[in-house]
Amino acid sequence: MRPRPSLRSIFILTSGALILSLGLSCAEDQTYVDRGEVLNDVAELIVKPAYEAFESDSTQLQATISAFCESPDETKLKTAQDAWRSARQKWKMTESFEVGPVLDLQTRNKVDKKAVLDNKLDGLVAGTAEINAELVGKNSSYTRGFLALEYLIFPADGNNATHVAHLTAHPETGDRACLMAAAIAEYSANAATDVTNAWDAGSGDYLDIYLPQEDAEGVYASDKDGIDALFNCMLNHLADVLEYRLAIPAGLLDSDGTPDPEKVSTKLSEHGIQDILDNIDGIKLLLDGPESAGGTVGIGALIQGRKASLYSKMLDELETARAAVAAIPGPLSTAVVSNTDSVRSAYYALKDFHVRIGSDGATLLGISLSVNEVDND
Amino acid sequence: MTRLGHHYASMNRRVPGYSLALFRICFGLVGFLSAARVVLNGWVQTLYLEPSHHFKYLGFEWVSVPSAEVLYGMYALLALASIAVAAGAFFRYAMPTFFLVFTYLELMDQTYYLNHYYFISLCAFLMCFMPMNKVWSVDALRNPSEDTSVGQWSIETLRVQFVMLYFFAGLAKLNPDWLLHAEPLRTWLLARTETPLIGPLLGAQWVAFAGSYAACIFDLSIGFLLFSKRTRAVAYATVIFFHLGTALLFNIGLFPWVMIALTPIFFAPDWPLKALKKSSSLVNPIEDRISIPRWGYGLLGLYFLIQIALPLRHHTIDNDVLWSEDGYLFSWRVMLTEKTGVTDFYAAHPETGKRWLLPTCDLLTPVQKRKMSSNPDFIVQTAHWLHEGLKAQGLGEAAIYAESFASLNGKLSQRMIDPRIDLARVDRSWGKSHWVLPVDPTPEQSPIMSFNGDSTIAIAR
Repeated sequence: MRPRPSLRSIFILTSGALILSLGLSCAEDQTYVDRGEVLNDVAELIVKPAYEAFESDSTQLQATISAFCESPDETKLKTAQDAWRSARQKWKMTESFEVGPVLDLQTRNKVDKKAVLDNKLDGLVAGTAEINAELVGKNSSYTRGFLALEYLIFPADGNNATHVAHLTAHPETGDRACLMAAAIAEYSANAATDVTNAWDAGSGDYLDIYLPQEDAEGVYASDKDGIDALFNCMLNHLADVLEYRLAIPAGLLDSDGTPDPEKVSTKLSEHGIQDILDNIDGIKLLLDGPESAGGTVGIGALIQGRKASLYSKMLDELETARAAVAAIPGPLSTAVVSNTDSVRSAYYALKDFHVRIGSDGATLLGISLSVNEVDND
Repeated sequence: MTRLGHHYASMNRRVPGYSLALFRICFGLVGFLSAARVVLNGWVQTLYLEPSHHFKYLGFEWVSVPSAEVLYGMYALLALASIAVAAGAFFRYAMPTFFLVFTYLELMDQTYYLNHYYFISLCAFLMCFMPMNKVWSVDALRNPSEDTSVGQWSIETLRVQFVMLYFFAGLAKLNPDWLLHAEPLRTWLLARTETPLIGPLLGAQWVAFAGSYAACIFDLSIGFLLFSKRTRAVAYATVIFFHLGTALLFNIGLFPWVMIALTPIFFAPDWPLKALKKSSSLVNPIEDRISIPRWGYGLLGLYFLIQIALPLRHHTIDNDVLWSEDGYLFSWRVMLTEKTGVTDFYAAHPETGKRWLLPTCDLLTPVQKRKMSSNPDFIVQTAHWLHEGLKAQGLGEAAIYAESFASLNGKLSQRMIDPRIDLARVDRSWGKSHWVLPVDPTPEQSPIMSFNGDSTIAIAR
């Protein structure tokens, strides 16, 4: 016999459930955070200022290298090296939000390839072609960017005085090496200007389409897609830092567990640990925003709105990971061999944060990881 | 006449075949759209041809992804069979072809399992035995017959299949996450607050709770309300409203449209004719009953017994179904989980015991990696592949361990896989996944987990 439901009983049941659900909803303590506002804050308070700082420091780097080339001395070389560190720091902090123009303009290819072809760079310096930013753009991306500059302005033995003496004693190659460094710095500064302008509502149009107006379509189909893209970018970046900056050099992926110091980049400048710290600071910047904002203005605001205690735990774990990285006795290329445990401890501490953000954070925000074009159910 | 005998007789009753024909047409069109969007969206390439490995359904490990030419050929065949089904052309051959090709394609990779594709496979299987080409079909034009009737059993069978889907989907919602925390609906609604008009409402907690309860009541009752003539019209309007809502808010592909298009099977068998203001000239002039053997009903009964057993089988397994996913497949657990995990694998050298981390980026696509990271069965399959890979590299019988953490429906993440178990030696089974750690319902009160990369260290809980 078929069931004979009564509309009245269904109505009573539904009303009861509604009352029950209203009661339950009052028990949960959550704050609603608007995704559109978060996207706006990320653009205005985090991304734009970060690229502006990168551009400013890149221009400064170009100027200090030019000054060094005009009359090389130890002090000017040290100034150029400091400018290199500062510009690299600003760049590293932007890597956690590598979305939009930085991808379209292929800025990474222009300023920070993962390796440098030093023999090719030596060939260019020893050659006769006119050295300028145009030449840098035409050549392999492995002969430009931070690592190429590092090769040119940080002596292998760490002795600036000898380096300056060598450059001045051999002007035929020294001048061209200097010219090459200046051209690479100019090329990088131009790339930094391009990406900064693209985010500027005045000179570029990305900000307008990133934050779509009511009558126009944006880069993302929805605010959710925008947040998902930022979150996924940060997560992929974190996975890269874990694997390439810590696990591989520390021999965690090697069946014999043999560390590989050759896999540490920026060995000449001994900047490996600082790179990781800057990456971590970039992640914190995307999550929490700048301290000057006086509160959470990054994508972490969404997590905080859902579960403030979790967000606080997340930041604590990020801080713990940062402390573990900072505790590695530098330089990294030495530490991976002689102090492997400290590098591995840093890896596990950062992995704890990776689990927290990749698992708890993603679930809480309903993030679709990566390009998941398949349907759900 | 006994009750069973009466039921048997009513199932054999002849009824107009128009609603069944309309079901067939809609079904064929949905099948065509489904095949077309997979090809046009480039999913054949990204989901099937590009990945080097595919997660297999237990018992169907023999189903493999064919070459690109064959795979595209299969989708073309599916599209052709779909059109033939819709047109009612060579239905006897088109329908089994549709069922076999569609099901094979779905069985190729478990990563893309969807309840509604399973539903389409089941309907396709049932339709192979049904006289769905009696009217409004090329077959009927080719072989004109005065008999436009079908057995009541065919319509009832499809209706019961619908009821099963809805009812078990509702039953599955009777869990603490859904009822006490409105999860995962709360999370999903919060992510869609920019939706025009209703967006601001979606951020309100009471909406998530009301939606959770409404969806649960809808699923539990709608099948029965559709069966009852008194409530059918209101119920169908509710079906349309409900599925349009889910289509608007969530990325669930064709499912809402499938349900809206096929649910009219609950209306009277001649309703399409009446809608066209034509009269139905039933029936078979010779007799008003068809004769289906009792063993046929026996088989149908067995089929539905299996359909009841599958969604309930998790009760026989001592593991949380949403956490372990033991008994999760084929059980109509629709939109019940927001589960994300992070899983890393370690190998241990068979002789030295040394451990090292194994990357999976060369093994899995990002989509597969995401699914794998929170799915215990996929984790074991990945461990097996890693083990085979190491063996091929001459590293012998290396043990494989997993550091795996997952978060379910907004709860704090916790360790999911026992890090002391060598997953290379674990056999997949339909029973309990003993390598899955028990879920802690209140992880907030547990010690802070820690990723240690060393299975010899005792686990926190």
